[in-house]
Amino acid sequence: MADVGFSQVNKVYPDGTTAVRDLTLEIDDGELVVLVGPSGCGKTTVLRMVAGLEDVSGGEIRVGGRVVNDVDPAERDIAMVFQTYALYPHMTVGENIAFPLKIAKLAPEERASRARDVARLLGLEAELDRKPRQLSGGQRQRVAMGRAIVRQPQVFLMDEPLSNLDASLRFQMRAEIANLQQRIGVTTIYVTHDQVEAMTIGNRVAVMRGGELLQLGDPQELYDRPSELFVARFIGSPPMNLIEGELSREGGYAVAVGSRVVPLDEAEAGERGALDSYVGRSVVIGLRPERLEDAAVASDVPAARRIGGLVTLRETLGSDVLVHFEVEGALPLSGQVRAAAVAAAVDPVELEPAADEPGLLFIGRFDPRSPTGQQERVEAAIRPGAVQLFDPETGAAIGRNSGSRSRA
Amino acid sequence: MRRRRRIATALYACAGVVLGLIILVPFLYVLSASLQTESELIRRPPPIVAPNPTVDNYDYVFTGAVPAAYASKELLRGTVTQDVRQIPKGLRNSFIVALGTVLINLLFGTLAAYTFARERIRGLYAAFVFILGSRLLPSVAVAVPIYVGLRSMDLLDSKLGLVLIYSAFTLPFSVWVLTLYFSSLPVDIEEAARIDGCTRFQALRHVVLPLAAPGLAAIAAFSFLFSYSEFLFALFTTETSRSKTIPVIIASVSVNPDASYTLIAVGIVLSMIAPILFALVFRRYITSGLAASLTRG
Repeated sequence: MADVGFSQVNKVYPDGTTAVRDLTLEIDDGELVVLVGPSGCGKTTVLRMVAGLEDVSGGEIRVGGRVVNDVDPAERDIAMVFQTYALYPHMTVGENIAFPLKIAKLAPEERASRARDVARLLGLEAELDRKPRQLSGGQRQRVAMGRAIVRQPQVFLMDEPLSNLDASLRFQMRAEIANLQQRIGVTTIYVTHDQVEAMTIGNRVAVMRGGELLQLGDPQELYDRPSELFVARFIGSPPMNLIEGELSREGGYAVAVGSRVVPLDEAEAGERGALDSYVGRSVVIGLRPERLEDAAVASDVPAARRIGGLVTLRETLGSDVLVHFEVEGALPLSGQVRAAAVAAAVDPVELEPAADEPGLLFIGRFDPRSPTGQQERVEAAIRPGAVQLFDPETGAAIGRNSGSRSRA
Repeated sequence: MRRRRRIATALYACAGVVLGLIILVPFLYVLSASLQTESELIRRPPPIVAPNPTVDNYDYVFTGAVPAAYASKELLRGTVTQDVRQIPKGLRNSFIVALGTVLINLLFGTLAAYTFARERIRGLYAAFVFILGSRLLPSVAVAVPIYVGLRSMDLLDSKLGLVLIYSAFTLPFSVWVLTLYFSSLPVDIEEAARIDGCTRFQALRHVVLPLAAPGLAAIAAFSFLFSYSEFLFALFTTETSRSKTIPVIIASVSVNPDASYTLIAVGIVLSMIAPILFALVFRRYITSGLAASLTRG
């Protein structure tokens, strides 16, 4: 086991593109850290640099205190699970699992017995003599895991290990991987583009975009106190609703949300004075769908903290309903805010309001008792502490979040 | 409908049989001729199937025991040529030369192709094109330079000289086929091997080469068959039975005005054995290997 450290790590490809910029990150011994971000954010490059499959352009990567920048992959004592599993097609399951031991020149009996132990752990005993092409996707995934753990390496690297599985299997394997990692306690770096996977599996989650680490924290922290608009949008499903409005101060702070003015509560305003420089200016207001409720079933929320809109779509999930509504009096987000909120080049249209929409589309995750139907007016209550504010120019969180920003 | 399909199947089968006969009959006829005595074979019309099969001709080639039929009819002086006695040596030379060429193709072809397929070094692509392009020259055009080169290295009339010439002619194709083949293998698997503790060379040996086996078999077969039966260069660089290969010897037997047809047939039959065995053993790989490298690349 070992800790893994990155200091000021850079990766610049020969054609000049920067894949990773000034990454500094400490991963503790036995910890499972998830690197998450849209495709092209550099997360896989980071993993491949740790593996030694990619040169480090600048900075230092340490494994167990040893700088490994120029160490051959074979000498790093790490194991990796590939997105494609990369099993050896000409070897049986048993040979695949035992291959690292064979290269390490262990005696054949020892190899076989350790491969059998690992196969038992993963429920692959019956498949030991089969070839990878005879296995199902889930079984192949397990073989790849088996090949990684058989050597008892210092660090596991997992590159989107579940992305080739179907949804139900992914759900099951996600839990299995988390369990396995806890049981054997090997430091693990896990790469995924799926924020749900990242949240459920990681001790800590690092959100990346455009080669930069935006925020590192435990999953709850990322959800509750995103340091950036991008993190706020990326974590959580459906994503956080965003709208621009002016911050005012008459007694307490308040923000304009469409045609309404919503007073901020103490938690939302944060440390005294933190918001002062923004008074009279436009800020980005973030509201998680889960923190909105149909006013008809949320009698405990003060009447002032409501926004109104016209329901365009109502999706029943059983436990909740997702109500899509156009906020009254809302203007489209500025291009700057959209750029800060979405992954570059991945989903440029996601926040784009359709041309004929008068306001912005919000989503509320309401109690299923909510009586509001499609094409009806809805009053959505904003739960206490729900409002999060961001600087429209930099995308950085302001107000209560400013103290907990953990940009690396 | 079903009847029509059955007729179609029957027609295909007939066409296949006819095609098979066209290909096989000359071979079978040569085999039959090699088992007859000269006097039987020169009858008009010649018998299709040997009436009294005998292995005396083969016996003569290997042991020098003059066939009884020749002795009795006093045909010995005119038709049993001494050249024929070189056939076993020629077979051996051909086999050694072909095997040497195969080994060189496998060794250097693999190393070169793997580099072309996996490395990004400045000038590599130019080298690749140059190697391929070198194959476009008609071989006769380089015959004189090659002859002079061999002579200066003192490799005329040697098996090694032939191996070098044939390697020069077969390697470009081998490198090309193997490069396409290696490129078609997923890089992930090699990277996994590297992380699992392999050096570059171990990854090549344990993972890449087993997966490339069909491609390797294809180039082995190709270079074997080419160098086993090559005639032109063998003819003008060899001189003695030390290095004369089987095509040269058969040719010299058959241009001899005293040549015995049955003995020529023996030479042909013997020279076919190795290529046929090779083709049978590697049949599956040759087709799948070439097809894979051509379609996947």
